[in-house]
Amino acid sequence: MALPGQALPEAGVPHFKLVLVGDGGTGKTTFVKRHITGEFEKKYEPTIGVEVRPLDFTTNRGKIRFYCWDTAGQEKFGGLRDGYYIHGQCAIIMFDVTSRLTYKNVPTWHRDLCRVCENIPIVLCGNKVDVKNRQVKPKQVTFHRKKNLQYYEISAKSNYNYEKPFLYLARKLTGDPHLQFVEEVALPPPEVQIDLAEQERNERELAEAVNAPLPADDDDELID
Amino acid sequence: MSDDFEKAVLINFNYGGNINPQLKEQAAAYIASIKQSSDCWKLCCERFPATLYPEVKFWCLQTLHEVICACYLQLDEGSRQMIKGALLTWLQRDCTSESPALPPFLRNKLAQAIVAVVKREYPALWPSFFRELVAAAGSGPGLADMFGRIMVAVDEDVISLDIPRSAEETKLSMHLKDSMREQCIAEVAAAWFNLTQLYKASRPELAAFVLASAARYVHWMDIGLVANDRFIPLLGELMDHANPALRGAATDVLAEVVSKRMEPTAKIALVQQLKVVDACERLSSNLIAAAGANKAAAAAALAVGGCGEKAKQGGGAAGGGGAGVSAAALDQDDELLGKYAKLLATLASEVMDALKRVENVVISFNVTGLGVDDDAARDATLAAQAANRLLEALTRAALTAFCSGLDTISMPLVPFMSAYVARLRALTKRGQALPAGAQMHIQAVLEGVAAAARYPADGANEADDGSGGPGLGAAAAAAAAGSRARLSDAEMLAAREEQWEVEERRRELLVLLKNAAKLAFPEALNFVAGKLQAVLAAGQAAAAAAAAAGSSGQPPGSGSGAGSSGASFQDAEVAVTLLYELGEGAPDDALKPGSGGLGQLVLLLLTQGQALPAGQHRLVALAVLETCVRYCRVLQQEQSAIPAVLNLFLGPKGLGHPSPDVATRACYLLSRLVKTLRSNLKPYMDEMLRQLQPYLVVVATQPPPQGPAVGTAREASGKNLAPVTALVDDRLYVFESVGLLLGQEELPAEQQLAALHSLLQPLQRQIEGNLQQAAAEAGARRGSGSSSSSGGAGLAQLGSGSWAILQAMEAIARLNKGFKWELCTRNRPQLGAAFLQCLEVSLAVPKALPGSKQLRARFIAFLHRMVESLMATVLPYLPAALEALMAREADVTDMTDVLTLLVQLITRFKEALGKLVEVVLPIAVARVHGLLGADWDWSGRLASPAAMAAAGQQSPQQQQQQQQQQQQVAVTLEDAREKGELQRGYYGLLHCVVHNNLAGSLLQASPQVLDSMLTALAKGASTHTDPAVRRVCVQVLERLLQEWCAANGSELVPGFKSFAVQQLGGQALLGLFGSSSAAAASSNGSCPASQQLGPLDARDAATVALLGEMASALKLLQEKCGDAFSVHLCGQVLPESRLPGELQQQLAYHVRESEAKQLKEFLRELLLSAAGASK
Repeated sequence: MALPGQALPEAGVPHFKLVLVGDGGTGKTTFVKRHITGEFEKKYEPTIGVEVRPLDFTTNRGKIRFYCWDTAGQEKFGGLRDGYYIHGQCAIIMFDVTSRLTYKNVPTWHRDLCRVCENIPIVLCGNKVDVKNRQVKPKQVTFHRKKNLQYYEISAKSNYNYEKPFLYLARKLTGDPHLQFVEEVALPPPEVQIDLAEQERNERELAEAVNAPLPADDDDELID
Repeated sequence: MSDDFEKAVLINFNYGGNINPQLKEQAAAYIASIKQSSDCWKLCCERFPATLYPEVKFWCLQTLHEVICACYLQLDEGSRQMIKGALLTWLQRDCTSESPALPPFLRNKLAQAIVAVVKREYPALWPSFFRELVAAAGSGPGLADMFGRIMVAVDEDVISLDIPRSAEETKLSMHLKDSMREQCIAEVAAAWFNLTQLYKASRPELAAFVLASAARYVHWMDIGLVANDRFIPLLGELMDHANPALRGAATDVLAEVVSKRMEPTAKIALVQQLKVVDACERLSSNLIAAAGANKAAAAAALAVGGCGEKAKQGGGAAGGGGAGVSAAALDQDDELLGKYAKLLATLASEVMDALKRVENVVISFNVTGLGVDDDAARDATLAAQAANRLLEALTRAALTAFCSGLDTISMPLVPFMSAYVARLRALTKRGQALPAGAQMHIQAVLEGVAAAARYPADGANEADDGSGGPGLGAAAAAAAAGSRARLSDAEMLAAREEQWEVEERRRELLVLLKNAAKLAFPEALNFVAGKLQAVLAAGQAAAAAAAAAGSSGQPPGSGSGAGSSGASFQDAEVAVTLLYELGEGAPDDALKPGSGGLGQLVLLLLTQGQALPAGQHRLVALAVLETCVRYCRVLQQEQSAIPAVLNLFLGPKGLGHPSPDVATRACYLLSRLVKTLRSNLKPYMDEMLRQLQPYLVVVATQPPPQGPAVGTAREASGKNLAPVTALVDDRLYVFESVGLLLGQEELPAEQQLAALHSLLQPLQRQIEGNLQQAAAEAGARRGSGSSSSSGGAGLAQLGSGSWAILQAMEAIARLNKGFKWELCTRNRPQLGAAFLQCLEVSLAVPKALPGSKQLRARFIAFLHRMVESLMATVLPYLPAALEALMAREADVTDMTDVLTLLVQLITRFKEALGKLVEVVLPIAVARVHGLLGADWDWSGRLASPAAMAAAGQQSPQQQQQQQQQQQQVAVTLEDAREKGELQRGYYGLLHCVVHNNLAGSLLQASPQVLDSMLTALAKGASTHTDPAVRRVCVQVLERLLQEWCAANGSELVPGFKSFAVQQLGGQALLGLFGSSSAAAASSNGSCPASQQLGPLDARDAATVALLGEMASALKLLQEKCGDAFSVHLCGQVLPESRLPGELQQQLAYHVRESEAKQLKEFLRELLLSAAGASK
């Protein structure tokens, strides 16, 4: 399944179809482009339909390739929409922590994804945690616990946690919980310095939230 | 054979890269044109059964779904019947066959389309839908499966409010639920029961799927449909079923039943009726067994996978069975265990919650004396008793499970454990007796915390034997080198990742420990003491055994590893960590001698810490050091233990630890220790300094070791930031410790001075000796075009010469922190002189390397430190320092920093700095004006965020050009923002000068310089976009007017009065209304008239403050300049203000007659009404 102008993976390199979904503007394209082209895209260009990019990682057990299907978040550029999910082997659902609406729509993305891809490993990613004025606080992120997803806070701009989602998926797909990435992914230098102290507070809050009871009534507090 | 349509769809779906883009475009256009046609649904109905390609089938269903959603109800009856008929035909025909004709994603898609119809037709047009569905579900496994899928889709697409719904959809969801409750839910529930019963043996996965769809409906349907004597026994039976999926589904349904919202008495009755409590006790013992098996299996799987070099002896239970278990299967088991634990936790929490509520009812009955309704009181009491019995059994079960030591089981139970401990604390507070067995329960909670907080066996940290990398000392590395090769980077990375995960998991657990300790401190103390003593005893036993073995020729164990030393690193680490956390829940006086065992226990660690088994392990070493410092006050009473602790810190388990994590942390912790124990350490000081010497040399001269080369994300997330990425090297705390030790006044002066000299001299030499190399590095960098000024650059990117200088300066500053200013300037000025010498040496740094941002910043920080400690004795060095900092190479941000420094110095030294200000101010003013440039817009308009929008609008429409332009604009904007900051700093400095009685120094400046300053102030006062900045300018001018002009007409600066009248009384006043002519003038005509500033917003607090300042300035003008001002005001200013004549007169009146406060109010009203009028 090579794409035009892309080298075939060497024989025997395991590859997986990764479906990337989420509302428009949450940073899906930015996230995948971070890996290959090296230049973080400042300008926002809506994805039309889907763009497929190969993302390679080197693990302690050899190379692995994700064919990342970067789907359109915006309805009007829909194309085949959930048709792109067919034969997906793993997925990332992305939202933007500075926009509540994008988190509110996560259950819809999850439903549509699971309708086509049953029982695949899924990572939920809260992007843009480098932005000071975040609207979705770690404690408010509970969806992954209801559905047994993995959740990571990421920042495509600062490379923060960039590899985490891929590592989790690679571990699930290979069935090796101790898999490690051994080579540094070629990422461009961070665009912004993430406030580590602030982010540590967030991570702590998240950890505390893990054991807190789920809010009794859905995520009402998020409804604007 | 496929035709054009099929080909087009297939091409559309193909992203294999082997399709000609042009063809792809054609196909897309063709498909789009089909979709456009109004009866494309007919095509879908025809093509779905005909095609062999799942993609084409998918497309047909997707398109049909779109049509149904878009216009189903607008279609005529016949068309609707055709669509519905087609869907039902496919359901009945294509979903029944044994070998599934439709793959799951097409089944789901079909269910989605059917539910889209149901959403529009049920109940009004299609009241029999669910009955028909239930009937169909009975005709085979394929349709039973579709029944489940359709019920899931009904929930997800219509009912569930987890998915965001519009108001109308929410109403529809309610309506559907109501209709189902009225019409069919009983039959659907019966179908769930029957299908589960039917397939539980032959097709357990299918039965599980059907049950899982039922779980979605439990929380809103009549509970009796599930909580009855048919369904509940079935669920009970299935929880013991051989198939894990079925066990999981049954558990989920039961958890849903238990967590249904209802009245507390009803809830208690329900739980009793479920008769699950016995089952739970059985369950929890099963969980323990499962946990054991799972751990063993994990170990076996690890061994098979080849990841763990040493499969630990899996506790006997492993048997041979574990070998074949794949990680995926383990994963599933984990999920199931989690479900059990969740059920248990839900049950226990629900019962406790119900109990709390009925207890409250009983209490309120008793309090209000409402004995009237005896029945109600009796019911409540009975319910409370029943709940108590249930809770007792459930607590027992939950505690058993909690102690399993397996995360998946124990973590879901933490909230219940916390709630239970909180309940016991509340009972104690109310003076009520604790329930029977509470003591035992607390013990179990503690056990559970210890088990869950433990590092995993065979985890990533297992291989760590404390040789993580080059630490501070070489001696320890040699000792460790014998045991095993160093960890690879990947291993180190995995170890840190696991550490991070364990730390996260622990947070809640340790809160629980703290609360348990608050509830029952003696028990908690005993528990922790038991753990620690057991570890120490195991260590001694192992040491004895090793000694015995050693005499028989075997090599002694290295004291790491799990097996040989008797206690594993996990045991040692968790025991020490528990001790650390115990302090959080201890009563205030627990550490005082004779008031409890905590002090004793701590002493045990402090004195025996060296002998702790696995003490060389990175995590154990960290925990021990942290705990020593946490309780180091104990040493103030027990000074005999001090040497042991110092040995620990200064030896290979502390500063000399081979892992940089430990060594660096030890540097910091040592400084805390020294701070607390300062005077107690005096007897040991010589020895400490001797032992610290080699570490000081390493820290001062060798850059911190690089962390693992992989995993940028990893380094960014841990609390122990890798030293390279941290901007400040934490190892430098070791110098702070030495400074604190040496800075004590009680030391003999000569000894102190000699020791200080011997410390400072090498550092001075390090600065001097590296200047040349650093300059060469800077030159090379400039040559290669890469700028050293990128703000985010870490220390790692510095050249070695620059690094050495930075490090030495910081080391001196850290040493200096221990020396109080009284000591350095009054009591023992020789000490101060030694530091002054360092300052003199470091003056060469900004001189030699004016372009290095890091060195400039470090030098300024250094200067601050010296000012703190040496006070006025630094004054002679300041002119040279400032001059070097204001060198030609200083750019806009550099200069802003210098202005800030000047303000800080003036604030500190006040008039004493007069001479310096006289010299430095003209230079600074010239530099500022030079940097801002002659055409600088003093209104600050270009530097404000609003400017960005304005600039964006002007750019041309063509996209590419626009992008380029925007980039240029971005550069210019950042440049302008920096200049704006410089302007603010400039005003800030002038404000600081005149308000510290240094206005006189302005008079020493040349007329040109003075003129530049005053003009800048006048422009700022009348045109700056930020009212706060205007206020600063007004204040400066006001102050100058006050100081330079007497009421009798004399003035220190000729013409200043008329200047003040013109500017302060004229332009600044007009500026308030946005009608200042200076506004246009200030921009040198580069600003079109349309962008003239409008009036200020009087609702803004900053504006109000400015108005207050303006009012008092006008009053001052009135006082000082009298008639001249009045004439100017009435003759020129007011007419120019474009205010209505009446208001002009009133303003003139207020300026002349009113108090400043009234004048301010009047100005505010003027502005408010002006704003109203402009709307």
